[in-house]
Amino acid sequence: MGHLAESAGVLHNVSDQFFNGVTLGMLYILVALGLNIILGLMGVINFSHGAFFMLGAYMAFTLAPHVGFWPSMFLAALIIGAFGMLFESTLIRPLYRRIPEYTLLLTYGTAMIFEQIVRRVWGDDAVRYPNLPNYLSGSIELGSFQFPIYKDVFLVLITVLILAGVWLLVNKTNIGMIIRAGTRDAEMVKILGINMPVMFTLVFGIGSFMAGLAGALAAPVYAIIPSLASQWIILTFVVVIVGGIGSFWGAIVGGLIIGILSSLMELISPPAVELTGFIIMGLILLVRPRGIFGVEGLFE
Amino acid sequence: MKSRRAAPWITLVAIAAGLILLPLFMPGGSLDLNPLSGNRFPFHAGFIDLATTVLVFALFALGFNMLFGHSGELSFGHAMFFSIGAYAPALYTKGFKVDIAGLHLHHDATNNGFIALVLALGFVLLWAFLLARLIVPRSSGIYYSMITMAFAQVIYFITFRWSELTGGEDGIQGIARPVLPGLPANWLANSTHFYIFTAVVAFVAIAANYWIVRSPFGSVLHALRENRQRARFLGYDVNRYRVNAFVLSALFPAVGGWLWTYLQQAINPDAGGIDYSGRVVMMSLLGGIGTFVGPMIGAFVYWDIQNSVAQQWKYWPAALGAVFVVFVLAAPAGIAGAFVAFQRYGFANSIRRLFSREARLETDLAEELPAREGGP
Amino acid sequence: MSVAAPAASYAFKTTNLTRSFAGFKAVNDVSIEIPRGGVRTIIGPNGAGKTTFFNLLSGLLPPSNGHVFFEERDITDLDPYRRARLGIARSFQITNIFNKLTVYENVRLAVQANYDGKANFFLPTRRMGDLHARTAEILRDIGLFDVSGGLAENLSHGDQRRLEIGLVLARDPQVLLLDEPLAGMSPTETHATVELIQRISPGRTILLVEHDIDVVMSISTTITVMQTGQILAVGTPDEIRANEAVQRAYLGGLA
Repeated sequence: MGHLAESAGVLHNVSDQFFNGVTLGMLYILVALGLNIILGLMGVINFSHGAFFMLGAYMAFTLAPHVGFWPSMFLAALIIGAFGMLFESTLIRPLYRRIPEYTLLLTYGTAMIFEQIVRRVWGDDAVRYPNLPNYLSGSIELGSFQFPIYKDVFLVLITVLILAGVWLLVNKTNIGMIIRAGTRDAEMVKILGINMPVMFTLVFGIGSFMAGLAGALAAPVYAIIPSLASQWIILTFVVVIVGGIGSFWGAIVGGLIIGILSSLMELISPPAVELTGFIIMGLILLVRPRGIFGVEGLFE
Repeated sequence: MKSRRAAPWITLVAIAAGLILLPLFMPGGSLDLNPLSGNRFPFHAGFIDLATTVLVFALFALGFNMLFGHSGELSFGHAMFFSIGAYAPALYTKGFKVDIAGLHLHHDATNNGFIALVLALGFVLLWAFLLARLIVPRSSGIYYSMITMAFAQVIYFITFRWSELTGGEDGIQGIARPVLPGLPANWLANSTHFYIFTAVVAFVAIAANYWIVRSPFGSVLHALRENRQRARFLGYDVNRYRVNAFVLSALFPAVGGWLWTYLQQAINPDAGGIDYSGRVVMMSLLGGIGTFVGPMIGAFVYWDIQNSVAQQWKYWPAALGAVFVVFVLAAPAGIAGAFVAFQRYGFANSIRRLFSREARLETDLAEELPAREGGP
Repeated sequence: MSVAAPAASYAFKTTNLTRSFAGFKAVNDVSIEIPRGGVRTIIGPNGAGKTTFFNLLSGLLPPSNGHVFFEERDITDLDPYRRARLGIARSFQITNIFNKLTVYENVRLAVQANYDGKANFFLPTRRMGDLHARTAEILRDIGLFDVSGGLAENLSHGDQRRLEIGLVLARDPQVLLLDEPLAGMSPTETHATVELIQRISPGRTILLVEHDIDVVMSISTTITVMQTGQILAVGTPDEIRANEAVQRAYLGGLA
């Protein structure tokens, strides 16, 4: 009997960690895809992307008590998206004619500023998200397994919806076509009379929107602290490297792999959890230098 | 070009003079120029230690700049070498006992500064070489920056999580300073003495860096920065140079880390964190990327700002962030670049350039600066 | 393979050389021998695959299929820098120099590449024998000695093109691949550059992609005509001028 209970316990642990990993993976996907859209389409690396994620979480936390759950999610993402557009048009745009490394330096600096602003406004300590609506706060029970609705169902559904939206936007709309053409041949698009700077601002807004949304979605699940920004940006880089720079499917596969495997690592060796992603990255680099879905020579 | 480069010995004499005078420029020193610094260190050891800190980071920045400034590749993870260079001597000096995979590793406390340095350089050399062989053929540009940043986190998490060996978050404390042959055992315990020791080491390292950057090898790095494809078609084994540049540039942070351990007599995982990597990028940017003295000036200005602002304002990292933004947008050539501009365009015209688009368009200083390293 | 030709009777040989880009065959199944010596020009309409062919010979691109031989040696998988060391040097259609370095430094780096692996690069350049003398010689050869202290980016377009030829010459290569060296030059510059090419050609093989048909006709030993990734004809200028297929496809009104 004791033996059986023990193995059932192990199974529950594995299942819990697996679904924790899926949750984490969903958020990685959203953040990484946002970064990847900007990176792949514009060749710009935004280190402040992690700060946008963090700001999204704080926005959702602040707005939820006043406007309610759904509007707070939506508004948080929208505010971050709009902020991203402002950010791109004022600070990033002057750097397009320089080597891309300078955007990394600039956005690193702004990330420092954003983090301090958050500390000033919301304090250094973690803040807790207010209660979720009742219909999202419970769990679904299947046999002896429990699946928290928000984390294991709602978050996954929302992510899938957003991914479908982004895929349609990039592949099936005029905007997407223009953007993709513009990254290959900006001159040609300009000749056609399309305003590329506006397109770039829009792309940056979409990418930032996704970071903000991911932050808002993460707010009820994780402790909301200022250091989320730097923690997440590096993991996002790892997801992007593993999946392949600029790749839609790469962000998805990379996010899931790293989310799930690093969660499962919790069962094997807790101190090594943070290392999981980097080990995967090292191995991927060895066998597929451009990432799982990477394109050869995209950033030569 | 009209302005010729100074002869090597003039530069090195100037560096030596700078090393001797540096403590006086620190907050509380008699040549302190920073209006914000006040007189918080009325001539005691504090400002001398700060001067030592500046030197440690000058070495760190010098290594970083060899890579980004001279060969054009931005490593956003150079703190990993600083950290390894600090932990290796710390563990060697303090001793450790660990069980790993059934092996019992044990080392007693040993105080030998020279062997500690060899260990710091050795481990950094090994890690840098393996890493360079992994990432150099597989990445370039911002991809390279992202990968170096990620691998630096590996070192950070190892030092952070492997508590048995590294003391985890708290790190290692109570590390004895080395004993120099022929001097009393606690000679280096004195701040001024330790500064002298650091300055001598720094001078040797700076001279070595100067030598490398100005050698034919250094020219090849400039060629890689300007046009990697052209260098390749001239017959240069580009990736070999990139690996060598990476490894060489890692050795300077290693020496810095070695000194850092002894200066602080303690070490914690922060030394390998993204903040430290970013800091050194900032120092180079502040001082002037691709110039020889720039990173050293940057290290000084950074610590001067940090030390005066941090004491008075809790959110001082925001000021550092603002420095990044302002310098990237308005003065990517840094302070050294500004001096070059004053020399070239005159003070008034240089200021005009800052605000006038036309004046700037004539020649973009940021782009022109690296060329000063060239010339017959 | 058939019986080998006498040693090094050709500079380049390709067998079934093919390169496709997303299904489009820019170079399609080209098997050709390019003899040693002389000025060997490749002409053809835009998109004929001339530059891609150059890129395959110099190693900028790996072929999708087929092989490249250089003097009996299969160099298909050789990195460009190794090809350069074998004596293959190339210039590019878009000027490819070290813009932010001085003209002198440009050429010096090119000469210095000869010593890579032979001399210690951490020692001063005076250990490298005639490095500076050779640099000065090349600078005189290409007529840029007097401006060698200035930045390469400040040179006129024609001088930049000539500087690139100087870089290519530094290794004293057996084979030079020059991709449209005259593009965008004024008549005076063109004249000087043609003279330069003729002066350096003895004892070397020069592969040329060029559009200026008068120059091509006057300096070429043989002309290879490419069309849609394939070789349409090979012959002396007179033969090419008389070739009907070429006239139809390319020369058109000129003939």
